[in-house]
Amino acid sequence: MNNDKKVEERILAAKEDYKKIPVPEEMKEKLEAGIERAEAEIGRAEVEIKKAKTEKWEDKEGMGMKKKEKTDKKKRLYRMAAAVAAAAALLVILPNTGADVAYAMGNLPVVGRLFQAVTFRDYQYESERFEANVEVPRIVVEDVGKGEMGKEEAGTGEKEAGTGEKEMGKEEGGEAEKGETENRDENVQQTVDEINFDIEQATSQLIEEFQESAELGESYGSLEIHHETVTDNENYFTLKLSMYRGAGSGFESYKFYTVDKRTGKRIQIGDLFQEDSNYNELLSENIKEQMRTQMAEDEGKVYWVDYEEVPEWSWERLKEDQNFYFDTEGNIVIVFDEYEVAPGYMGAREFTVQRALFEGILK
Amino acid sequence: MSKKGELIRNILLENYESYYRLAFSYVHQEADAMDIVQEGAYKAMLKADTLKNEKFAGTWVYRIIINEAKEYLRKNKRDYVELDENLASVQEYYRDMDLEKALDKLQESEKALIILRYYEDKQLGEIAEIFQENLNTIKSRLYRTLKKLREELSALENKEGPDSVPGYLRIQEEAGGGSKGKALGGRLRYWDGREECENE
Repeated sequence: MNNDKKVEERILAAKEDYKKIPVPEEMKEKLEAGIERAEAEIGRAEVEIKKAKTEKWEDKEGMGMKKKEKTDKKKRLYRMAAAVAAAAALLVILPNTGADVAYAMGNLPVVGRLFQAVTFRDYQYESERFEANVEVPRIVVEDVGKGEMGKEEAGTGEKEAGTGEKEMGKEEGGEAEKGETENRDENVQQTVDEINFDIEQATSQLIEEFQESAELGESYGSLEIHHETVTDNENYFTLKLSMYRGAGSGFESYKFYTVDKRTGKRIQIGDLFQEDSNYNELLSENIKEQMRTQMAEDEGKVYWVDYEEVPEWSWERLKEDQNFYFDTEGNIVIVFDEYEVAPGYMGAREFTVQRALFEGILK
Repeated sequence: MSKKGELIRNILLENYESYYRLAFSYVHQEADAMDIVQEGAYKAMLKADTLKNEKFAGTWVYRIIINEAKEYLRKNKRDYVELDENLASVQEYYRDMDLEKALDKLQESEKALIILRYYEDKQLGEIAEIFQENLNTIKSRLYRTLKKLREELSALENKEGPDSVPGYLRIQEEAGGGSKGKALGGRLRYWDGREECENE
């Protein structure tokens, strides 16, 4: 070990020389040429590297039709690839959304259902250089107000698993409402199982990594995992999972799981709004305005909005799986991870969009 | 341009000097190192849309550059039988030539590991991401590589005889009074991420 340290010290001593290896001036040009070659090939040749090299540009445009044909073909190929990717994504999404019936049931009277996040795995660790404070949640669902019938079902259903439930449905069949309620129950169970599985996946790797390094005693580190129910109203239940890993430079990340209680489905932000609404532009513009205001008021704040130095970095719009939740007043809070809309030192950021802005386009 | 394409382009423009030095450490030739970076940049841009998670864009580009360098060495194997000669031609860059020679004896990915960890200050987690390995594999690989380096170094020193001054001591002398702290900026960072301050 000691000898290895010496080797390390020697390597580190040579770092200075390494960093001084001169980079030829042409390197940047060559790099840009490589980038342009790729862009031209993909058929999206509008490179705007600031000191645009006019000569080269004229050249490229002069190439005219021939090149265009070729790139069109490429474009088509890419479009095809995108379509394949979209189809694959659909396959993934389907199990999440459950049966088609689910949507129709949004209009059914609400059967009271209690969603709860409980700490499923509690892990604490403390040593000289290591500290972990971990509470991994799990969502549990309990039916309330369904009458004794429902409770019994839940009780027996557990052991007999799926088939038992189905038979139960048959016996009482004919009553459409009853059948759909059960469908919804399955939705809920499936949704909750999937969320719990997702949480398990996201957290167990972090815990394992932490445990291993703590056991080896190498390095140092900390791990914090917490959960919080940020929304629990008539329609929605949202669980927030916060993960922080510290070691050298730490990172924090959040996950928000929102279940629509009426359908039993997990929803993304787009699901809240009417199909043809421009919710994304509406919310995004509002957030950009807030960013601008905050920056104007406080010099210490930086957001990547109207970011002229590197326009490509400017934040434009919400992602499909954008983290969000409803606050107690029914406003939407949009949550951005570290580095998503601002430099790392700003950490994760939240923006509240007032309900009045989007109320008209809610589903 | 696609968002991912933009992201990759920015990463390339921001870090090309690091890529160049990494490539240069393999070939010790300016023109060849530039070719590697150019070709790597081209491929990264071309494949930008296949990048799955934008969070890993940085490590993804590194992976492409390293692969490109390996590919280049493989293709031009004949020209690189004697890496020593190339190295000798740029020896003014390095005060600790023994270390450079020892590094050249390593496998390509081992060398990249050392460079990324110690010269580019990458976290082991990031390196694991670059090599698409799990963290523990990287840890033990780094451990083995250090051991291998140590053996190469002591073999080289024995060859030179007991009187010669090892390169790293020369660096310390130049840095002023043999103060290791100064040479290292007062801080030591070990392979497992620990840091130590020098007490003067």
